[in-house]
Amino acid sequence: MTDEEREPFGTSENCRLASPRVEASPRLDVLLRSYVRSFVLAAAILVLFALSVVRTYSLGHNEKFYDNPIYRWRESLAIALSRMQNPPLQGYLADRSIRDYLARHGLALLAGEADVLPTPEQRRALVQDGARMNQLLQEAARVPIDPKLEPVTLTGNELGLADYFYWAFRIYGLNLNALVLFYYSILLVSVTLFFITFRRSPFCLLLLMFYLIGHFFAVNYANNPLIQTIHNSRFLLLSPCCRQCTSYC
Amino acid sequence: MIHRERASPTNVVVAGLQAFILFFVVFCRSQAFWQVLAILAGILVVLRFGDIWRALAHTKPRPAIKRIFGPTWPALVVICGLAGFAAYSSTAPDPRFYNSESRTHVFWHVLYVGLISTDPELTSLYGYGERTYSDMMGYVAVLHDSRGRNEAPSEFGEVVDGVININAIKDTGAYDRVVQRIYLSVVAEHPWLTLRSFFVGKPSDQMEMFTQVAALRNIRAYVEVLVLGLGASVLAVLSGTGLPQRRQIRESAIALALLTICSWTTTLIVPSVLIPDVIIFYLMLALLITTYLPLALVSSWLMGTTSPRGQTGT
Repeated sequence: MTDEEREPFGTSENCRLASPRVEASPRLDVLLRSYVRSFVLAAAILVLFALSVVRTYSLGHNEKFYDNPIYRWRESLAIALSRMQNPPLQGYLADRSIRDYLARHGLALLAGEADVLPTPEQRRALVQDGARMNQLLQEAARVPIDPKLEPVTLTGNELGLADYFYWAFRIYGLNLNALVLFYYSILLVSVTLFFITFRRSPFCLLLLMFYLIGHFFAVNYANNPLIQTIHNSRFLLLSPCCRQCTSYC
Repeated sequence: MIHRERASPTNVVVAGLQAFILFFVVFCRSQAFWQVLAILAGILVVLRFGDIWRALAHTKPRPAIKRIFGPTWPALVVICGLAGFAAYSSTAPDPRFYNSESRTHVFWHVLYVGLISTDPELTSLYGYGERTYSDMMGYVAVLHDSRGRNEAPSEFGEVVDGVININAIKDTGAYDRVVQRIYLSVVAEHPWLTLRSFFVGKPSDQMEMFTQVAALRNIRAYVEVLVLGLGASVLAVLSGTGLPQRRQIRESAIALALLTICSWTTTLIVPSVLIPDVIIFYLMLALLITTYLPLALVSSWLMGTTSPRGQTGT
């Protein structure tokens, strides 16, 4: 490779450098080569992205919830389902009927939330059973709402998880797989934006590839009992790493 | 920012979208805030304070403004995002139900538990026999404080048969304010132990926690990462990524130092293994050092030049 070829490919600067000295066909050659390189790098990025997706599905993250911590996602789920009602309940509030339904069907945490408080093992068995959880979601969404009951709030936790659930279910349907699909949709948007911005810088694209390799590693890390699935809000920290690279590139 | 991309409409829109994703994730998990700090800290890398000072000294505000906003526009987008995030967080939750409550994670409670858990002397003084890093440490501290003052907090305390009890979940905001007071009194009383907790206890506990995570002891996972990293570096070098120039090395070193400092924010609040973003950052750094730099060096050596126009990003 000559020194000239080591310039950023596909840039207008490259074309300017080449134009006074070379004829049309070598310039076309440079352009063509730069497009091929862009294509190869884009393909590598897509492959790395796909590796994380495949590993996520092979680990079954699309078929389970996590039992650590249940309170946060149970209330967030109730808020999201309440927002999906007609009329929707806004203001990060959950219809008590929905929250109580979830609590009475295996997700009770405190005395008084259900007639019989499930043991941690029973709760774990429920949240890791995709079919039962999907059924519970469907039933909770259809539960008759009693408007006289005071709504429920999510105390001492970030409220964004309710939005995450809401948009995941709105876009991909009311099932656990929607949470994984939504996660990767955010990541894909983030990666695409990064690629668009830095498509002319192989070094920045290298950083993006390193990030995706790290993400691939982290999907395994998510099997940690304190995380369990990639849609645990403890794992949602990942998507904006691309933003971090964007800023530092 | 370091790449000094122009603030073209496309770039600004793309940065705006990225900022939106960033703040959405912060809204889901406040721990991600260190990344906002890292971006804002990037301002220190790209601003040439001498030039700005000279322009201001010659009463030329326009060049000074250009020098400030030209390279830092991505951080400005993030600042706008931060303002939007703050406005949304304070207005979107229904004020009738969220008014007296902490709308995000309790902060001082976590800081207090982290402080007491990471220094053996503080643990023996204020741990009240509770397991280190357990939430009970904070609750029991507030309970002791309330009983010591013989004063049940009106928002979340109650007196049953003459005994003061608390239920923090009733009003986490008020609870967190009490923890803040207790935390500051501990710091004032034991400044040396506090420093020791921050600079010795927390970092060493963080490392200790990492060694106990099975996924981080999986050699095969590191081999996978290394092979993929090597492949990515080969592709990048073949695509024209050369060695960084001296100025780029200097700026990258400052940027990486700032990123590293910001990535420690979570640990300095409370050591935790729930920081996959920080782990990814260190993996990226390790891959840069172990795969990209050696390959770029070999490539430059093979070409008999260090390529002064070698293209790099940082």
